[in-house]
Amino acid sequence: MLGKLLKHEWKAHWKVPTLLLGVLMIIAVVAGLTFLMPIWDSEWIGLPLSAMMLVMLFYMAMIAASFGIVLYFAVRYYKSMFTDEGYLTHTLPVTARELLFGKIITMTAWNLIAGIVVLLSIAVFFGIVILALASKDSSFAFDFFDFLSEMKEVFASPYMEGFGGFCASMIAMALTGSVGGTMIIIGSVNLGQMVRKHRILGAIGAYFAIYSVIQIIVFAVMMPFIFKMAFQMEHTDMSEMSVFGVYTPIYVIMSVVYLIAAVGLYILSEYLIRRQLELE
Amino acid sequence: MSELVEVNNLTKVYEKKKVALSQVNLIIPRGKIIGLLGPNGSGKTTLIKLISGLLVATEGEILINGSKPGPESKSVVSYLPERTYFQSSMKVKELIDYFADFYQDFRPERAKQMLMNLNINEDARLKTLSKGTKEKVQLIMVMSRDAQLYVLDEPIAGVDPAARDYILRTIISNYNENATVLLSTHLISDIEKILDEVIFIREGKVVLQDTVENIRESKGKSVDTYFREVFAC
Repeated sequence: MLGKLLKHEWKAHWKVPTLLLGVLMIIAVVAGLTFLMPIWDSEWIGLPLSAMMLVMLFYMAMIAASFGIVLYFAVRYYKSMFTDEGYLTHTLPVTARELLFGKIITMTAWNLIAGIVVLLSIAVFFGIVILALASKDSSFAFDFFDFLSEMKEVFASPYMEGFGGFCASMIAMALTGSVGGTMIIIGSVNLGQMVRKHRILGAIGAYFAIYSVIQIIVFAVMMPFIFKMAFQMEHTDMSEMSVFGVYTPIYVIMSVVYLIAAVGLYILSEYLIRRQLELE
Repeated sequence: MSELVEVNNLTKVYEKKKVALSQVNLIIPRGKIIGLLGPNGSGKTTLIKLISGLLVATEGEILINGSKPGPESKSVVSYLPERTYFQSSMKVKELIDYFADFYQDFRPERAKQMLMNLNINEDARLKTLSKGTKEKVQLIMVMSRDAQLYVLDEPIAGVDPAARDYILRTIISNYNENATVLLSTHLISDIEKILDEVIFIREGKVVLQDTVENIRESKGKSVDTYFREVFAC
């Protein structure tokens, strides 16, 4: 049944996020293309100003698309579980676990897709900008390749020690952050429905409460590491110290906290759906 | 096992200690059309929601085919709520696919035939349909299942007499002979002719469960008249 739930979740929800991410990509391309046109060098201030606003729009579109997708899925989760649509959802011959997994997997997948597309849009934007600048000024292309070869040397320096581990910790944090983010939304909406007369307000309140608690836990767990790092920085030659040694443990800790929070919120959510469901 | 549903000491208390059902005991047999009758706020919808697994009982238990409300019971119960409950952006044909995927007892051909009889376009999105047509689509979906128990909450409330006749005809002509139809209403005169049994419910308690024939014989009056006497204000 989980496969069927995933199929219908996907069919019901792919259009809005695809539209949001499609618009983001179009804005990235258009904002990048302004660098190919003689807009930025125009004497009339209106043209460079419009181009600057387009670049700003791209920046805002990245935030809007990411936030919009999260909000869209939060609203859809609430509607499909606790409004009139819930009458169909909760009369399907599926377990609470299958129901929740169907939604968690779909939401997490879209969180990850959104993250990848946002990164891709940045790459597209800068790719077009670099091409545009290189086409206008041939020395820029040489400078750019020089910069890349210099980066090679930087990667070989002791300063870049632990870069692989840092990348792995970043990927772990992106994955656990996506699951954790999804579970904060689902957990909040489920907790909010316990406030029977004000379910939406309850969900918003629960979101801020859960988010604050997780941030406090992250901070509390990281404190000893921060002190340790501060101590090391005082007694180490900074030029030989890798910045990744600082960030990797922080990302690992955050990943672990997100994972524990996600599991805890899942257990709570399943209990609430199984034992406390009360449709109006 | 002759009984389809067994309700034992069922109690449901909502927020602020509002008792919707109190110590309800019921046996619902197979192969009957049963009216769940009572005034507004008597607990009919609460009982139906508990049977359908949309609420959790405060005390007591419900057994459907011997199992508590869950995936097993939901695979044999076909439920029609008293509101429109499908996602409005869905097309009618998507709804057919949805039901066919989740309910093994769903008969798509039967649904398509009924939609065709009513000239309802399968490509239409639900949001483009009138409220009455949406309700008919819902009824068609629910009655296109070969379920063991059809639970219909106020299926004829708020519809015109012609639609009322259509709904009753659909229920009678589509339900499986071995299945039971439990339908709640307070419009008794309209449905009395199709009922085998009635359950009277008042202030969360079952006050009577009997066959329509028995009531007519023993009381010498129609169920509608008797209901008006029992629930006189």
